[in-house]
Amino acid sequence: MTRRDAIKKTAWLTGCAVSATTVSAVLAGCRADTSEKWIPKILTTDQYECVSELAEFILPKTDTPGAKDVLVGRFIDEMVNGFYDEKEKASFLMGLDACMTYVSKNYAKPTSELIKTEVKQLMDHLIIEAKETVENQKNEDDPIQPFFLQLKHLTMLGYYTCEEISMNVLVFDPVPGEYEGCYPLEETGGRAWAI
Amino acid sequence: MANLNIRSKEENTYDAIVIGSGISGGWAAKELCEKGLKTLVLERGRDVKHGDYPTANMEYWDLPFRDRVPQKELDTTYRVQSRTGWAVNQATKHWFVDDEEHPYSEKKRFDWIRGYQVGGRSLIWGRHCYRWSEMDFKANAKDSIAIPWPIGYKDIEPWYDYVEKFVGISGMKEGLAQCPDGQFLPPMPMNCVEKDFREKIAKNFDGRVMTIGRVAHLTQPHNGRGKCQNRNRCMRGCPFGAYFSSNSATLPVAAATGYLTMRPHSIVHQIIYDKDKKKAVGVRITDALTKATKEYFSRIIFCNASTLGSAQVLMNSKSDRFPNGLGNDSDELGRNIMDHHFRYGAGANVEGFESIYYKGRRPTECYVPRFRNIDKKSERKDYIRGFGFQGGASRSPWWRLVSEYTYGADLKEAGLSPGNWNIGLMGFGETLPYHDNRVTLNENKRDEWGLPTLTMDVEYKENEQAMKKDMMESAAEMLEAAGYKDVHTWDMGSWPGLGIHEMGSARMGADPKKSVLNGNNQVHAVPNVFVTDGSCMTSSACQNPSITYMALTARACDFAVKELKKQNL
Repeated sequence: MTRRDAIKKTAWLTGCAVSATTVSAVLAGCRADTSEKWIPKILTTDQYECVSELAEFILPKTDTPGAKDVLVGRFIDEMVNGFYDEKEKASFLMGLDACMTYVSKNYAKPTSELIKTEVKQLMDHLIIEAKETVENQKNEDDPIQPFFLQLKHLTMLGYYTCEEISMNVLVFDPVPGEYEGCYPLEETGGRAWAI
Repeated sequence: MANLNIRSKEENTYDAIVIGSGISGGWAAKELCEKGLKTLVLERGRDVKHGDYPTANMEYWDLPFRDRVPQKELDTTYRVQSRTGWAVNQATKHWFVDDEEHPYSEKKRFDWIRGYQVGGRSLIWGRHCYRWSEMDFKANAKDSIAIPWPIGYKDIEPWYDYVEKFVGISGMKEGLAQCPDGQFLPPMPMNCVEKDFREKIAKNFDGRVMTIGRVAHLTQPHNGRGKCQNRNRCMRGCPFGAYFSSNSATLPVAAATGYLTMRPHSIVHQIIYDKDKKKAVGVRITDALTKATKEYFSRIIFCNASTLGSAQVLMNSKSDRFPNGLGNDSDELGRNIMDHHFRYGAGANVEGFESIYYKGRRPTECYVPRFRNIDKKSERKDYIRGFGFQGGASRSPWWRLVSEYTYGADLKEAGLSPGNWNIGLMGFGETLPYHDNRVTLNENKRDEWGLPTLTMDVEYKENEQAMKKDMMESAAEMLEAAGYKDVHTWDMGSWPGLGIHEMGSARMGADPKKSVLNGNNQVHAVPNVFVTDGSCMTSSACQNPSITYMALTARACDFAVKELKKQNL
């Protein structure tokens, strides 16, 4: 048993916790729906596939899982559908369509088949566009998030707060027990705590 | 018929009625029940039993939208509550009021942050507990501002001891006159960078201290409650009872005496005054669910509905004797509203600790007690009174990377690792009791239960503006002196109410012509009514006020019961 597992197992025993008597039915979670039958709520199949690829470009698979492994595309569909207001939604979908047009015009193939140099070209294009949007921001009180930053925000939120990454890639410690203020980083293998 | 009325009156008669079950109402309930008084607590919100915290054990992926609340909901249901920027999350929003159901009017921006449920805002408070000092009780007299306090530190000191022993406050003794030590449990630890900063402040600024927050978090089991597990999910309610709330601490003790009757969904409209007896005889409520009007009777009444809630009840308690609200002979009721102005400070990056991290999510930060205007040497020409800093050091998680124009494997790896150390200090400053900073009743705009709503007309003025500048500058100065990098100041704007330390609406004073309450929190002209929430404060100091409300409440309960026994009430 690792140190981490040991802490996890003992913490609840020492804390004398009272369990919640109200199990809230109102709170339908944002746990990734992993079922085969899943279909996107707001994105079209093409849009969904493109978004999933873009998310993977932002957080690609290495020796740790990539965005696609943890179904970030499904999370993005959920957020655009239920979390975004109309303005954000419109801006995201417009940005996505423009991105898809750019891909088909320049490469004449789906996003999933882009080669490395093409991915770089596409992402650089999105970034340049985003910078221009930010620089030309007219209303500072009500700024428009450019598509790249919307996409990146949703991707990172979906990835770093999901169950798989929190529990198995970051360091997960739901009931720490003690606070240790000068803790060697090597104890976590250089990883951040899941929050 | 007459018989029925008498019987119903008997059934609805108690020794004491407490209006509100938040941090001070919980204390009133506990003290009065423990002294053997049959006590009715009227709470306007729903019941919440300790442990009844639906989100306490949920992870981010268990919550809708990973704990974020959609903008549309923030703009409507939580129009005011969301002005905090931190309060309204999926895991916590059920502790905050629906702003559409509970309106008020703002002549000037006022952020009224409320929690209507048993336990009130004691479930969601900041939990910092700092004693006031003699300096604070003398401040108004010294500066000839408003009116002097009718009590001094010596009057409240034993009551601080008394409540602290029950609450359980972790902290370090520092021997500072302006922030007296108390009855402390072992302190929560500071991290490496915070220790470094503490040493550097001590070296560079004579007498200045950064200490760990003195907080109502248990660092060891205490009075049957469990110790803090460093989850930092306090705002959801603590299943361990490791932070102090009415729900986890005072109300269970009150209930155990057998003398407590808790009545949730009870919206108090009026305290009923009997002009022949020259006393209050009871309380009139509307049942929030059935909208039926009911009356309850008692020998004494404790008003603990929060600073603005109590003012609203008292102002609405009109009679021939008190046409402008109960006990309002002085016209001070609803005036002199204070809060703490904050959200000003400075931050920096810290180098040299890259191989150090921390373990656990400590639910609090550090505190730099006031260091301005505490003696001749620290006197300022540009403003009176002072401020403290809350702050601390940490390594930022993945969201530091969100707004950068980067992507790819390096970004992912960076997000899986902790960011650089950074440190921040945020000032919490004293505000002055301005006579024209007031709330009034709006008879033309009533809420769903027929109660006139409040109109807020409160603003910060020159003294606060000058102090704000110094909060930013002095924070930056300390960080620079410590040798930290990229020191930057910030001003996020502060509006009355946002500190959620509102106080002063029924101030204490020796002179009934200039105050609502006497030195025992007793309404001057209605001696069997006590107001012991933030309403009673004559000045605001800069320390987080809840522990002072608790001490004043316990003290007033002791006084009230002695007076009852002497048949003076």
